[in-house]
Amino acid sequence: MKIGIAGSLESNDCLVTIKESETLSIKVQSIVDAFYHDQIVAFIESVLADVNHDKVDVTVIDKGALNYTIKARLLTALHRMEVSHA
Amino acid sequence: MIKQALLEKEKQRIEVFLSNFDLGLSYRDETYFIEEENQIIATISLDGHIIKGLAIDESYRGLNLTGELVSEAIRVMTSKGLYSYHVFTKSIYTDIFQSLGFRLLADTGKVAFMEGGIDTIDSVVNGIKKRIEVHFGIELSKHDIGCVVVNCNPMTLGHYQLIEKASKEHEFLIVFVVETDESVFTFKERFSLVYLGLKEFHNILVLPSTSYIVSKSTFPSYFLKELDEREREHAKLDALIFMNYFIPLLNIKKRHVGGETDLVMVAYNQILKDTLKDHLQAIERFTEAGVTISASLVRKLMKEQKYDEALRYVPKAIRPLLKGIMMEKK
Repeated sequence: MKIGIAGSLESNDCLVTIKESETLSIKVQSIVDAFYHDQIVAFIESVLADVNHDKVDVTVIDKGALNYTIKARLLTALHRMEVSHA
Repeated sequence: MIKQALLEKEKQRIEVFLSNFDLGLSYRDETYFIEEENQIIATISLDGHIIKGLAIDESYRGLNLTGELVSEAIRVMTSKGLYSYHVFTKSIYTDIFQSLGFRLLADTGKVAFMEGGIDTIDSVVNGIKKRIEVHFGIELSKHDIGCVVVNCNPMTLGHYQLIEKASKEHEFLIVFVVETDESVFTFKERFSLVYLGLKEFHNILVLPSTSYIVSKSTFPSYFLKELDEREREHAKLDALIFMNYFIPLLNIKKRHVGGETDLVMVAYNQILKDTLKDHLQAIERFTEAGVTISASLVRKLMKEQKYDEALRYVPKAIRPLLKGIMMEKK
């Protein structure tokens, strides 16, 4: 099973876990869920579409990260998943 | 900055700090801490995939030090290839952990057990369910399922008879062998012996207990000599998880336990009884020619190098294998 993790649970950051999967699934838990949950999910979808990844399980625990941060964490986690040997 | 406690001096200071929170350190714990002006203000400990001993000085609350420490803990575990984590914490901290993405599995009102990362208890138990259904070619919900949880350190005629009796009361019986390696015999040895010893029964399936039944995560004190108040709470967590997840998902009618003489086990069985109620059935311990057969008796004889006498108390089918293992441990 291939897994990649990036980020942290510190303020203004997010912890992204990506796992290889048969289908696309995105789970987001954020401190700003009430306002931005759907926007964060949509943003993650767009980043994954940009790099043509649609067979992954993505879990994001967000501590108020900006989009740039979420994107950077996502791409790093994807990269780590691809090079992982687990 | 987060530092790892490596020096004996640091560990002693951390123990003093933790004692303010009614927490302790065990020798296996890997502890990380944050200092401010030479004072320890926050700590967290890891034991394999288990997070525990989180403590933050009152005057430093609200700075998300928890987030920092838990992030570090996850980094350390990830680097070891661990992607699923368990948390032991006081019930009052469950909110904090929930905000960090952990899921609450059991709460006694004093201590709580939580999980995070990729595996979830539902997926693990459903995986077991599938394995049972495929093995027996059945649909679980339509059958009468019994269950036994054993450490079998090592397997004896006592275990054999308990399991045989339980297997007659159900259509199918699942035997979980405790996976945590804290015993004289390793998990692999114990599991192989049980598997071999029960091979003749076609309605029994032997499975690893997972990290959710009597494991270091759910019940660290199982492997101790006696239970204090804190450990009773741990035992309750273990019983609650079995009650809330395994019984409904696997359609288990009854969990059978043997009569116990050991103080820890008597206390544990009582807690199980209080939690599982009708789902628990105690079976008298078997005696042979006035001798109560127990794994501790076998271990004692083994220690005294009375191997042939020790083997008399174990099922025939496993004698050659057990003899080999005992010779290796000599």
